[in-house]
Amino acid sequence: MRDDRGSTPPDDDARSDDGSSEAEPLSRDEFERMTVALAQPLRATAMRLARRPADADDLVQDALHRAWRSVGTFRRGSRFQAWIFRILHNAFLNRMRHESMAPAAADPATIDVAAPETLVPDLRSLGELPALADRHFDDRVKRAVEDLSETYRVPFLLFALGDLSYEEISRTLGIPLGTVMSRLHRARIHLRERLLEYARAERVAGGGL
Amino acid sequence: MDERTFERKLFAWIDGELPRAEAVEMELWCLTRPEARARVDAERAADARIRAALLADPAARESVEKALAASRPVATAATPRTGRVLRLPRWLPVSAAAAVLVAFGMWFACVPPFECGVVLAIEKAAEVAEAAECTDGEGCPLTARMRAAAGSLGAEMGNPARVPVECCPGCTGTAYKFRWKGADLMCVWSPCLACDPSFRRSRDLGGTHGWAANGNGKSFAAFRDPTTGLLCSLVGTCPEDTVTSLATDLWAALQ
Repeated sequence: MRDDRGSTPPDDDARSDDGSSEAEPLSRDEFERMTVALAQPLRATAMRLARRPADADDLVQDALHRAWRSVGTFRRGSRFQAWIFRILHNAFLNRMRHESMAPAAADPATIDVAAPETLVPDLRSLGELPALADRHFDDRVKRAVEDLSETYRVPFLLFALGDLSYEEISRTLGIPLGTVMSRLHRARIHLRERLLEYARAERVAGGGL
Repeated sequence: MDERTFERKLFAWIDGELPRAEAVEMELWCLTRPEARARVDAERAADARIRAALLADPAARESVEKALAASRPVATAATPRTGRVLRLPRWLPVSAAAAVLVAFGMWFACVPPFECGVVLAIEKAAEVAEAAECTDGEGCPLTARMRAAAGSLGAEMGNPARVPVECCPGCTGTAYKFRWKGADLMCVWSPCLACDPSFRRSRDLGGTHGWAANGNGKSFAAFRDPTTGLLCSLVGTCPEDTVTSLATDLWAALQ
């Protein structure tokens, strides 16, 4: 198992090493310091969830407001990152409910049964992806992620940007571990397909490859 | 191990999420297959490239700092006076205060009596024996949800119990007893929303509309749960602000 994420539930983690009691809530300074350290992944996740910068800012603000209000529920020694991304996800769900932003329709029955082998990208091209440094590539990646249905986009963002373990994603979304594994697999295969299409088009056009 | 299994477990292995035995199996598979090893390396590099692209957001820090500033308690520092000072007639503050008092008195007279059905029902629920059982037992979805929310807040839950709510005929609520942050509390879930206005003061319970009140040595706070549509009322022999804060935490935990 991966050591850096840890698979044990946050509540079972060891006592804080700063000597603070687990029952003692985070101070405002601690909360802000820990949150600012996660600014990039938090805002990036909010952007890919909400899709528009203004909505992403609102979502971040809503999540941080909720987080500070519930800071008493955070236990020292548990993973702050997993806790705050869970709140971000809940804030996102809440906004969707209030704004009637129904998730993009996804039919797991049609996607989950497809044989993985049929989706394996071309290995040679895949190796070229990391070297693809043209200025449009980042935008392509963002668009490809936004095009994923909620079913795949949310676990992918929690994993890739939130750095949540499969177990943490499973608990955050309330879905079985096997489903997390399957959705992350599908999401990445789909992303690679989209990006390889772009890479091939660039090559034909004499682009950056 | 075959190609299909390798493909199915590939990302979980790359992510370090496979059990030890399966990870070793994957490692052995790659040892004898250079193309599989190359695939793993390519996937890792592609993951890193995609992540870097997603994280490229120059506005991130500014957005988060702005959000943090907005969630900070409002500072009450005095601002220096500038410009012309408007002098008001002396009688104006006195008249305004009198008008406010009259308006408050009229409003108070119009508000229904504090001892409304829901509050009485909550008080009655507080007398239910700890051992009383909810007839739905652990299978009750509300009980499961309430236990999960209270558990995440570190509350000690008592047994749920069905109690009659007498604000309207045939209306029944579910009561939970628990100890939370040193306060003994009773939480009553009621489908009867008609009595909402009987909580005199309306409050923002952190994102949801809520009500708070006190009387008879007890404090009350209530909110409407958007998921179930039920009215959730908390009562405790502690200050109103404490109950309101606990209701806010419970509301957040239930989301």
